[in-house]
Amino acid sequence: MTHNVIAALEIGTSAIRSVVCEIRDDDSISVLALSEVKSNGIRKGEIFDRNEVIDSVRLALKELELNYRKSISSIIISLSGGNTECYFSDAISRIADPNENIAQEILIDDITELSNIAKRVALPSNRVRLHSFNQYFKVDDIDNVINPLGMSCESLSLKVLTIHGKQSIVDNFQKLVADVPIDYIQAIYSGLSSALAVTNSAMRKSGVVVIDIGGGTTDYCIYHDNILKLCGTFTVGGDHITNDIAAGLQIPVENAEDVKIKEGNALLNLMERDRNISLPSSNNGFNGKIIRAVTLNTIIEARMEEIFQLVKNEIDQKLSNLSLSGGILITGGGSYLNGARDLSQKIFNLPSMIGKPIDTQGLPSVNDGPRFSALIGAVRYFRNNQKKMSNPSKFNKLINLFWGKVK
Amino acid sequence: MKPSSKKNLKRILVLGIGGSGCACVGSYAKLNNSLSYMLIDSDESSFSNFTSDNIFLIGKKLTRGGSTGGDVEIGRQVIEKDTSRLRVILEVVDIVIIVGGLGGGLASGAIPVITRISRECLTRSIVLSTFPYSFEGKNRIEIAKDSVKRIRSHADVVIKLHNDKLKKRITENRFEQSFKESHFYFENAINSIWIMCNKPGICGLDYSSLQTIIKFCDGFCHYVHARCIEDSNRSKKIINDLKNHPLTSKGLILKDAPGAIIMIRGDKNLKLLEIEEIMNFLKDEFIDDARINFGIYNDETANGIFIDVFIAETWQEPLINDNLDIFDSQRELALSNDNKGVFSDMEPTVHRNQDLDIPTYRRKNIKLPK
Repeated sequence: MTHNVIAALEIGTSAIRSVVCEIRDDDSISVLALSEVKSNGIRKGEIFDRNEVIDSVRLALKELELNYRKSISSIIISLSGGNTECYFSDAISRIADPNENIAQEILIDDITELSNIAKRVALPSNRVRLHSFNQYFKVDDIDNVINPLGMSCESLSLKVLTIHGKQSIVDNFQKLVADVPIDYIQAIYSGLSSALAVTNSAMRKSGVVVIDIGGGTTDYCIYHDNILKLCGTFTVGGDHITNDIAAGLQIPVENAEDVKIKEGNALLNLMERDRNISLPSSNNGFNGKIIRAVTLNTIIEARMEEIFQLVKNEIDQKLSNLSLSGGILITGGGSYLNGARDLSQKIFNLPSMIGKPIDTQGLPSVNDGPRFSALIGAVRYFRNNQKKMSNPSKFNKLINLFWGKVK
Repeated sequence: MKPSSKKNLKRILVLGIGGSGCACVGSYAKLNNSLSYMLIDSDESSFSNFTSDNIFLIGKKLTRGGSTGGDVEIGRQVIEKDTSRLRVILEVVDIVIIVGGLGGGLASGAIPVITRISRECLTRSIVLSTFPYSFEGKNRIEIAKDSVKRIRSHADVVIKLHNDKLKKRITENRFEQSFKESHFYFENAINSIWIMCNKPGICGLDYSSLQTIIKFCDGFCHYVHARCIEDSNRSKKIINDLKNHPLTSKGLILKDAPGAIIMIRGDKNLKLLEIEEIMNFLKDEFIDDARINFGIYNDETANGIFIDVFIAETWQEPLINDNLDIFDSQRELALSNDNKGVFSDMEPTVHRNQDLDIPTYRRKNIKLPK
């Protein structure tokens, strides 16, 4: 496999998806093969039946190889770390010579050293670091400096964002992948990768929120000024909607899932008050039932509103007064729910769109975009990092090594 | 809902919005001293005859004491800037009656906002709105229609009055009188709601009967008023009046009406026979199993018979029963592990003291439509 062809795998709560992508010279991504199988043994992003998961992953990879018609040896993995959170830390370094106390020029070594110090954060024993991203430098009293190289100062400080996840979940996924067996190159937090897939540099600069609603988890990512400002995961997703419907309408979970996909709407439409939906009997022992569309949509609206509200509360608390003119992008399986976009527009009071992977060819249809955005983003993340390593311009080489900003 | 000061009396606030609403509410307030009312306008000239207690000048910065100039967006903005003051007022009343002439700037823009706030304050809102004459232009009628749609999404009841219908009734009149006629119509509506909630009758109507029609009417009601001040053949004349009244569309609205509140007021000469005749007529017009709430009031000061009919446009089961005050003080606590379904055996997802695995509608106490 040449370096321009990359395979990626996502082990999700509702489905296990994988793609093989070719990265073209103009950085657009062309999907060569893909597979999607139903996921078993995972609930809320956590493994509860290991053997079933391994079987599903093997099946997905087999199907992928069949589609690609070549064997795949190494792969990158996109995973939701289970209750992923952000942690901000600071580091300060004195550039000026203590004896002379004259402002001096900032060298690459200074930045490297400072980045290394700032990255070392003490996390609780059950948490594990997934990624680190530089935020802003502070050069003496000049705030929000993005690139301080060549400036002169007495002291330089740096703010770093660390994404950390649950140790037990990440460890178990790593072990599972090793047992399949797959030789994995890199693991990427899925919230971050879907944000990379559906946004471009201009959107990230103006401020954008990407909400990836999956089966068991909801990841969110906020970019502003081309810098990752905040991200995280709530272990609430599409399965919760299904469970709410099953509990509220007293029907089996399988039928609840069906009716959610076919008839569900995240916005309660008062004009639909007389519409009834008849659920046919099925061979799992369900006798059929007639339900009202308003009852169904009340249940869905309550849950979807809560999911968006959780994200909104996080943004309001941690990033108040941030301009997010890029709007809201909803991606992942949850974005297929009717009315989800309109509801998010109502709650955030920002323009909302369905996030589809940009600069990507080869997906079966445009509608398949949101489901594969985490994978396309993982490929793009890998490519960006690879480019930084292999592009040995003297300036970029060292800066990019520790500079988390993704181009 | 909040407790009233006296147990069975409900506090009613009448809001007049815009030029037309202020004129209407203002002229009724002069007749009824115990009415609590408030006039809301951006135009200072509307308030020339009123004390400062009851006026609410909005948009001091935006319109600087002028009118909105027919711009709905400005109408919306001026009230949005004063929502906190309005909220304080609406929080302490049980029913708010909002009167305004749609089609202009302020009423069309502001009433949807006011109804939204009253919904948030758990205050019942009844909107009495006039539609413009058709000669005022298509644009104004479109504005009015658009506004009614927005009002409908928050208000409990909307009662519409098409000015065109009044025109047919009083073709001979001067224009001043025809505007007065539409004000008179609303004054009667306010008066009958006020009497209903504040005065005990012989055969009673009260706040709860109003509540019933609000709950089931699905947003739209019609209101008809008829009177007879002569001495003989009173019931016949009233029946005739109801049949030919332009606001009942020549009796069409009465036909097959699913539910109504009928309120008959009369002087001390009111006879049972007269009531029987009127009720028999209405009973035959309505559908067989119509829900009729009926009340008789003996009005010492009145001269003649007055009849007020609120007719529900449709009669449907309420979508969501938001009458939450029944068990307010001692609500049953939810069991911790109920209805988690597939998530019941897992580690709970606790976020800010809430288990997110329990269905949201259950945690937030959202009643599901039956």
